[in-house]
Amino acid sequence: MRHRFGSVAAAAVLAAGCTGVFVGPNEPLEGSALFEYVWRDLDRHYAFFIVKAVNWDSLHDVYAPRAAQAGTDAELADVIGAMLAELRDLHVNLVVGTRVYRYSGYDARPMFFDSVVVRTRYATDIQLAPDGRVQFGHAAPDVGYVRIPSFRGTSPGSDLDAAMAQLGDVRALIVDVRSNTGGSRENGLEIAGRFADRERIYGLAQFRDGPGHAEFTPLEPRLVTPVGARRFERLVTVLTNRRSYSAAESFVLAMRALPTVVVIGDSTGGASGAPLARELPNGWTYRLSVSVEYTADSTVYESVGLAPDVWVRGSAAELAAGRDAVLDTALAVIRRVLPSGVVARP
Amino acid sequence: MPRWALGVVIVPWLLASPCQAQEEPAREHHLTVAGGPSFVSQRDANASPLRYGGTAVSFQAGYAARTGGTWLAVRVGGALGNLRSDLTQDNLPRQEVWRGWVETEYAHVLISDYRTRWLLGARLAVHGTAIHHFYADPGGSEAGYTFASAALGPIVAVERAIGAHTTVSAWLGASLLALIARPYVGGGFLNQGGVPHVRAAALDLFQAPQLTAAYVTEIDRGTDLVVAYHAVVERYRDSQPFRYASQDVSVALQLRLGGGQ
Repeated sequence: MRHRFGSVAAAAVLAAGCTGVFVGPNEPLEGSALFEYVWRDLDRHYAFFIVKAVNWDSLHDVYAPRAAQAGTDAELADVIGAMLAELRDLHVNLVVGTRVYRYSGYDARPMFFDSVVVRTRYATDIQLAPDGRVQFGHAAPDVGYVRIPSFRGTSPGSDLDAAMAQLGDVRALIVDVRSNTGGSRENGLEIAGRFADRERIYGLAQFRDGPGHAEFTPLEPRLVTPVGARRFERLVTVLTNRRSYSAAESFVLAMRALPTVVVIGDSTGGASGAPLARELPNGWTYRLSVSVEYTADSTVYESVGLAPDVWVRGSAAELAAGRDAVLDTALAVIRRVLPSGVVARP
Repeated sequence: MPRWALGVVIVPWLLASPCQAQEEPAREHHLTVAGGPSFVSQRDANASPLRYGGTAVSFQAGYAARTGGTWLAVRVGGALGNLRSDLTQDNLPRQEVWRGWVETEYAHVLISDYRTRWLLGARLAVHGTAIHHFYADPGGSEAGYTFASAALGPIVAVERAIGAHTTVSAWLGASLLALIARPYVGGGFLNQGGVPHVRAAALDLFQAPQLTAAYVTEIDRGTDLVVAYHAVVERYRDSQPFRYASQDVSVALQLRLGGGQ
């Protein structure tokens, strides 16, 4: 009996080792098949065809013959990368080894921001918070300055708490997200929540929800909620430029939903869709946007960006002369608003 | 639902029903707690065109009531595993898979003699799979994908006593009609926007055969040791197909409450 039981158990373990048989082998995807897979995946899931007025079928007609003629993987990657760049979406890319194919048309946008000017002429006591996620100092004795260069990685919330504790009893704060190219939206909301008095709707979103380019989920609200034991509910100015992208834009949206915040600078970059990663059997990865994001008043800001409350662009000449026009404007706004305590957006 | 499918469910029930009147029930209750390794393989086209496989840990608790002529069982279980693909290096890309299930089955004894019982009945099985996919892209992207099914179908079983206190059994089940809940795209529990689409699926769209083989031996009065092999396959045909298979080898303690053996 023991012998029979042992045989059955051994057979079961042996059978368990080949579970993959029930799922089937991986399908080989090469050449045109790989191109078609990527094209079809975006056709089914990319969110901005209508917003960007892209004729995806036409792009297939243009690039499929080129993919068929591609003789090497590198040539095929060039074709797929070029097709994806037609979407003019910073959340769409193709990664082949160390090479990243993406739309580069926004790279020429001016940023007119130099952290050295800020450090040497404005916030001369600037320092890094303990985890290095946030830089902080004083732009004036009663005005704090906090720079968040990225929303990538772990949450910067505790760093902001540490910065605020060291800044002391400032009457106003400047939060600088110029040239912040994004990261995790949740990280941005964790910072914005430290300025929130109550839960507020800051935007709307809807996701691709069917094979048709116009099939979306119902609009769902994006919320900013109070976070942290100690919150700063005094005057805050948020500084932006054309290189403030993605999660930084969600952060700006969330901040401008708060009554004590004034956004100053240039329009943000306009990279809004929720990115979703994909992988291919040859090891390549790519990303696509699967949501359309709206402001709270239902305006799509993809490609366009978020307009500030006070528009200031600055210039290379001013920066060369050691002047940061956006920061100057922020200080002027703070001096104007502080006596009355009323934030009146233009 | 096709008529033939209705027939497959109803006819066995009609055939089995007379047994209830013939048998004098001596009700016996079982409580079972089981656990063991599970060998998993799956491909969710929403997450990846690649097959992911690996080991999981599964556990299950069950209650069963049996008489001379009937069998009623309810089981709740789950599994958690870490799966890899052909591309995986340094643990990326990988998938964490959570799986949970609730199953109810009811069967009648069709044929029995002093050693062997043949049973026929139906099973309602609710299975849910959640996949946390970690991509190997420069951004370290993650996404969540879910698939859930509630499937109804027939089961057939044979139990055979091979000793004074030992039985072996084999149970084979299949789904005929199912409700499938699945978000259109990546989303679900990690990203917003994962609103499940619910649709009915007959055998042509969704197949979910299950096979269980068990060896039960009494180790103490009222307590059995159960060693079982359990195979589950789910295949959902869609524009983004889903396939899942697991084979479990489990060891369980079973308490018999009331009645006799």
